[in-house]
Amino acid sequence: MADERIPVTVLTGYLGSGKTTLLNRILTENHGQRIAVIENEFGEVGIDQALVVNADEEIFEMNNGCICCTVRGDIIRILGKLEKRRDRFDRILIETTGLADPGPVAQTFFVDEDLKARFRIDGIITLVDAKHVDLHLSDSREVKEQIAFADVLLLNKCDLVDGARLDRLEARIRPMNRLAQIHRTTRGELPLSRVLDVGGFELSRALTVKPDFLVPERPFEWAGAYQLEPGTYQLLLADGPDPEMNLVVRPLAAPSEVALEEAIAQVEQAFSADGCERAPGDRWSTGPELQTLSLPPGEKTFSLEVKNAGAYGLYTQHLPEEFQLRLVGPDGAVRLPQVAKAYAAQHVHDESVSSVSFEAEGEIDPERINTWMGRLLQERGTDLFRMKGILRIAGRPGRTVFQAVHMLLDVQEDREAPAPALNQLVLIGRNLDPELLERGFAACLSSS
Amino acid sequence: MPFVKLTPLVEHQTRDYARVVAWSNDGRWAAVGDAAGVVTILDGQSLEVVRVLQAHQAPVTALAFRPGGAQLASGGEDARVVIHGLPTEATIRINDVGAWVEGLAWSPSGDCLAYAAGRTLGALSTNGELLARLSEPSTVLAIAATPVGARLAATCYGRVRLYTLPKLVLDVELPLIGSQLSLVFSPDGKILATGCQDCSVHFWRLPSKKPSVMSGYAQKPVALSFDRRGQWLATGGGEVVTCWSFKKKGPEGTTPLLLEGHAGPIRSLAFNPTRDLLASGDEAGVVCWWQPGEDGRPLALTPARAELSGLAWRPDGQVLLTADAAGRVAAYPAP
Repeated sequence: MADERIPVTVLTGYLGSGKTTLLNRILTENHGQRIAVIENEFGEVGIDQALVVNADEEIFEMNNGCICCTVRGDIIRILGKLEKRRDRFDRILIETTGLADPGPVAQTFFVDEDLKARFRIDGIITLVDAKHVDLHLSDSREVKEQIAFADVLLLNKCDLVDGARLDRLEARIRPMNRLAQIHRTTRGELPLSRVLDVGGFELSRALTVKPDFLVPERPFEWAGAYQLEPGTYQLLLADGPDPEMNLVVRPLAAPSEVALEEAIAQVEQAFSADGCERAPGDRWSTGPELQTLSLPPGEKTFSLEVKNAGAYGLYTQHLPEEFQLRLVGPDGAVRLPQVAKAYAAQHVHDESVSSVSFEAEGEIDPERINTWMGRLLQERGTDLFRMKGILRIAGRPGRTVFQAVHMLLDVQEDREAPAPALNQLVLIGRNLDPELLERGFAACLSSS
Repeated sequence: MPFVKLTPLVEHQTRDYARVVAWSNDGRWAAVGDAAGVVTILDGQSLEVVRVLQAHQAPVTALAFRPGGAQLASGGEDARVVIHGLPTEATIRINDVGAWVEGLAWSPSGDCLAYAAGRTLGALSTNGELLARLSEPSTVLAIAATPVGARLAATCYGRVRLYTLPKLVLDVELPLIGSQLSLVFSPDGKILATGCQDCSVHFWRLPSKKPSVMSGYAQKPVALSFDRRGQWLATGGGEVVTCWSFKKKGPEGTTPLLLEGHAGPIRSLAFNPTRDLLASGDEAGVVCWWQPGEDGRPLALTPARAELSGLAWRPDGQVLLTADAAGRVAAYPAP
């Protein structure tokens, strides 16, 4: 049976990320449809045929005493009135403010029965200003949450950023949300079918597109390949996010990406051992060993001896730009890598957002999954943004599909569907402990 | 009472979703406001359309006849409060109030008109002059005038307050965590009830401010109605009409009377002002009549049509006016 409910698309992103431009595109290109826009920010929104409602965002706590259980009272009120018209709207667009938390918007559609009956949230589209988001990504809780909640992520204003930086940005963002579709756009230009009717909250479509865990996680976030002459080099660092950093500077077969990648296995091994502690002013020679640099406040200098001319790979735990890391040659000139690559960080920073995913064959014990999931949502609900899963529950035919936004769980049993070969679960949240979660999930298997 | 077959006396069609219905206190007029911004005025006796006013440029959200006088106030999603003169066509005053009008209420004496628009509460004179205005911390979702005296109940997230009219001076504070969607006073003004987002009904006895809560509703119990003696509070919040008895010591600890017969969520409730009769309307457009306390079964049923959006009895209790989402307005005679 077709879902007759009116689809709601949420556009979120910092001020200047391009929400209004995309919104106006949607309105212009869908001019046969009746579209209502709810906006909380003042922008040049709208064309004549669209109804634009400007309202203050009103976040109301639900009565259950849980701080993460909040809804958008203004959306309940406005949509409740908008549907009291003879001519239905074909679509609703909600444009949030730059600092908005997408959680309450999504939860509103889980919680209000009247809204649930008439509307369905189709997707959260997050726009990111590819040129400036770097400035906010580390310290803005809102930016991280907007990325974490997204079904579709648009790295917008790509015309202002070079490819390598975009690669680095995507490598930073992808581990935060492995479920979202990521697109690189300029002025929000992309086929609208990528942002409308995406079915981001449609249970039957949960995990039909596998989460993107293709971007591998490494213990280092960056690697650069250099061609160096013998001599004493200096590593200069300014203040950064960590009082310590691990790095390796080792010989490579060539100053190329291939050579950089070939050495990774050994570099990872080096990173898994304890490093040699280095204080500012220390000097050491290039080699395969891990160096742990102590980084007190202020400008720091370390010395590096390069004995032989050749290609070298510098593998750093953090992105060089986080410390304004520079490699300065014996001639005093800054050396730039011939090739550089960013990697998804395996060890996340404090307060950081990540995605974890589990797969397991077999059947899930219904009582154990109930207990584990219930406790997880209860205890970690505030830190869990989105969860999706497909399970084969022992004693139940077909498959069980579910999704959650914070503590709110939506479950559907599909008895007619074939039982899934693999149980899958994907979580996007803050401060996730993948091992602990994996153990908890694995313990729910009937066979364990 | 035997089962009554409901046949309308009169039927009219408005252009769009009929949002609100209201009767003047003397039963002389009835009005229907629709989503096309039109206010249709009916003669209270003949029930014929006597006037069609393009009162607003967006859906009508509220209607209130001035007690004892020939004015009708209307509010809309065009952020306007309009005071119309009756029987002439004169528009006395248009006020831009800055946001969608959530409610209108005249003081019982008819001296002033209170409105809620966005976060603003305002009081206007009969000529539309602004007498007082204040800002609440969030959108005012419902207002109701006390049936006696000159006070206004108004709710925004986290509280219900009583203000004096016309100056809107705070008189009583009733804190309540949550979002309140509707407000109704008992006929003697001693009980104030509110239907809440969290699927509960809260009420306070006044002036003691003693609070009570009835929870466990399947859906939001927005529709509320007291009977003429203040002995029953009928509530919606699902397919069952839940009636709380205020006879003796009140409904606390008692089992409510459940009136079952609707197959869809209750959207409207209205007790007859002169007899023991309750009208209810649901999402499918079915209207039922009941006599709470006598029988648990409906006395009358209409067929399903479109969502029942408005129900109001003429003050003499002889006619029930109904309005639905398809714009059908029908008047039924009481048995």
